[in-house]
Amino acid sequence: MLREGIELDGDSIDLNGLTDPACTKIEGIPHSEALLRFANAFMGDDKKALQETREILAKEMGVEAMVDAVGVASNFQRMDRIADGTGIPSDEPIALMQEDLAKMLGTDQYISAGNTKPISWLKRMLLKIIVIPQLKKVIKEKSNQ
Amino acid sequence: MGQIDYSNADYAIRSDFAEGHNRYWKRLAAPGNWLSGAERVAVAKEVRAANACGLCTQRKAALSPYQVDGTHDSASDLSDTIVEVIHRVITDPGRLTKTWFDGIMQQGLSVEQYVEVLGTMVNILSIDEFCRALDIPLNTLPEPEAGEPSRYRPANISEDGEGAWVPILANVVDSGPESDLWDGRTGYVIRALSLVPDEVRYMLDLLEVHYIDNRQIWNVTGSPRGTLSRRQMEIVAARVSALNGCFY
Repeated sequence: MLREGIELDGDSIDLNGLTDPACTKIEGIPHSEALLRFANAFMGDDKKALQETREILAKEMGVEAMVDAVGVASNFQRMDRIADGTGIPSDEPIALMQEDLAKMLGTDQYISAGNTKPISWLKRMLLKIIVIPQLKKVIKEKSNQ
Repeated sequence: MGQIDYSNADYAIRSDFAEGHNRYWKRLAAPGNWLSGAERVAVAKEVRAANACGLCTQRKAALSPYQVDGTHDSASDLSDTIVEVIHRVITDPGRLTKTWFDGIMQQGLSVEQYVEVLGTMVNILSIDEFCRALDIPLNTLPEPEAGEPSRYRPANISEDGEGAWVPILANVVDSGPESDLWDGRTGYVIRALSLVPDEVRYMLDLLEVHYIDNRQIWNVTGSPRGTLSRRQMEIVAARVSALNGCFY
């Protein structure tokens, strides 16, 4: 959804490094450094690092935004386990739309990527010609509401 | 049971977090579809025990979790099978496989029970993780309510899971008792727990509090609450998911 939002806004942002904990900044996304450092600390065991990154986030973006970031991070601790614990595949249109991004970020090498089977060439054609344009239209409409 | 209240936290926390968490605590204590209230609260205790479990620590460090045998450090009287499910999903979600899931099913846990255990544990985890990240003491677990599980199983289930390990509801459910769950079509991750429809309802309720209303999921621009932009939310989500090894 990140890339779709960026494209809809007419922007171009390099997402390379998004999933790499060593990458702590995405140019073009305000406060990405504070957010990514917080996310890394949230997923680690260092209480001091968590406290520091929380304080930086609150200072840069405000306490409300920091609390909302905690809400998002804790939500994805949950959603990831729902996905991985039920072995769901990726939704095909989304998987196809993000295929190049998954390759670039290396997420296609995750064990859970094996839950998504390769899409046949015929289905790829149908998705590209019919389903994805419809989905992009829905995203555009919903985003302009 | 005292009400969950974050008004004394070090940071101002919008009130709907406590409201949503209180709603879930009430649901946690009550009999579910396939688990009693006591079993649901025991799942919560086990979630809290998992991160301190010696076996889980060894497995997490091993090249393969299947190289390490042993017994989990359990905090409940749940069956060994349920304890294994909770500890593995909590501590090592990125290495779950269909083979592991099939092994669990062969140990006598029904798929309906599995889905309810999974739904319960992940909601507890998200609330506990919220508290941990804000340095708030974990909320006291509720006293379980008496009563029997309803054993409700919805109609219109795709038994083959459409590629998922567990049966799920058909994508379009526009009539019947499950028609409230989502509008039109939705993603697999929303349908994943739909064999136990209440777990989807509870999940969506907390989704709106922690992240975004599912009906707004395709609104990919702007700022849902005026604090974080959707882009900023998504980079946090992407980084957490990457560190969990989650492709979805």
